[in-house]
Amino acid sequence: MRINITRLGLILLIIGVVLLLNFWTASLPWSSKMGTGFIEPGETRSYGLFMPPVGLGNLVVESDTLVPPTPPPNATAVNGAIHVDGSPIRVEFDVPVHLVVVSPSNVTLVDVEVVTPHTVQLNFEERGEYIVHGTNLGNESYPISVALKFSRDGDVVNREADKFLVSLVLTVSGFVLFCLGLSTSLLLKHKRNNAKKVKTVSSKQRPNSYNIENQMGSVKQ
Amino acid sequence: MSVRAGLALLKAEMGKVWGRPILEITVALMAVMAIVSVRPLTEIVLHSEFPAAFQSAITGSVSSTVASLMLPWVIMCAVLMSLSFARDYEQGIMQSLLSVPVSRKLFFTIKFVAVILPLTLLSWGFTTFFVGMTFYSSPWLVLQLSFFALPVSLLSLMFCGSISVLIALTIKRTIPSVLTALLANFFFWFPTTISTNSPVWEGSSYANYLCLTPYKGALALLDKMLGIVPKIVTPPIAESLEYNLSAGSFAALLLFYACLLVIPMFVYFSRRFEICE
Repeated sequence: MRINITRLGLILLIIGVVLLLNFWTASLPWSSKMGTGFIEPGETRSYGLFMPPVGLGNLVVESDTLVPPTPPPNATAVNGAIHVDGSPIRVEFDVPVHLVVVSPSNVTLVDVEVVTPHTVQLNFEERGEYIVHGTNLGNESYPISVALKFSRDGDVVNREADKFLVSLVLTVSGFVLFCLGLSTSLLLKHKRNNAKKVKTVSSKQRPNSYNIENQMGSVKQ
Repeated sequence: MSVRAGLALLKAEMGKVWGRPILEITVALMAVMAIVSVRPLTEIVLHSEFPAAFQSAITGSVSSTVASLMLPWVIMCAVLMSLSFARDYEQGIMQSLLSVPVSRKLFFTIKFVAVILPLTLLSWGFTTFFVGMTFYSSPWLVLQLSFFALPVSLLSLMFCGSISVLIALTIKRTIPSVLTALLANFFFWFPTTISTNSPVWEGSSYANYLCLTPYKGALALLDKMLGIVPKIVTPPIAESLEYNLSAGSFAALLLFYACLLVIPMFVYFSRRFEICE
């Protein structure tokens, strides 16, 4: 298997273009949320966010819980259970929270005291674990959850910058190598053809000159 | 026949098999299929559970990348192996090569390795590259986990290649043998698209045995080696073969499939196969 510059360039170009098309169109999950039950007053809960470098995103700190619907007073139990029509009700709390966000390179991005629900805009510039510490500053235990939301409209495009860069580098280097290999082989071919032409011309000319010299010689004689 | 001559033959065979544009087509197919498994990953977990969740994400990514790469490697192996044997026979290259002092055993081994080895390395390389693109913060872990793709792809490719050789040596015509090998391997690959959890849950007995098919078994072996377990293990799934059989059992099964046709084909080609002038 002979791999020259042209083939290597073409292979890199193929991989780069496939990646580029994918990352140009790949969309991030619009929203994700994580909550872990009630947090005691003064207690801190730490969350790990595995994030690619996608640019601006919204980190939402909430305190909410789902409460099952209350049965009507005249409801009767069937087999020990009361069937209630209706969906659970979402109850929100206003809780003072101390929020700290640390980037993968250990830089504190946010260190504020907020009241839930609160949205913090973060710029995700590097890939890795962003640590979110949430401390309950209230007097009672509350459920505190962390959610990530990305705007779907507007000018902000959430694209994985590092992968995009890799695909761009692969595409460009592949294209350059491919063109370089192609031009080199064309140049070599052209040179070879020229050399062949010179050879054939010189080999054709030799007998003629020889003949002329012979003829001249015979004339002199 | 010296080792150097054998290597020279292998180089020549690889040059013939992987000539332009076969390698480029294979790379394009693998890139397109592997890209499906590389999606943007955003995950929120408890900080204390992050290392486990991170490793689980890598293993999941390795598993899904290998599963998506299986179709291109099966297609290319089927096509190239039958082309390699059937075309050489049809064009009389096999007759000429075997008239020189090259043993049939070496000839068969070289032809087989020239297809299997690059495909195995390509699939491993693609798995490492695409998984590494997302999880490059832990390169050693990615290398360590994607290493499991090597034995799985090698054994599956040996099975795939042996079927193609069998078909090529039986039919001895290029186009029909390529098409038949493609169909046969596609038939064996198809069970990998079926998710067994729901049929097992519904009580379908056939689903329990799907993991014993060659390619589905290979993916089950990879999952076992990576330590991937189903998220919900309820009684019907907990009693299924896929869940109960160990990684060793799946490895033995895959080894059996890999040797099932390779050894008979090797013996048949070196002793009994008749080459008509």
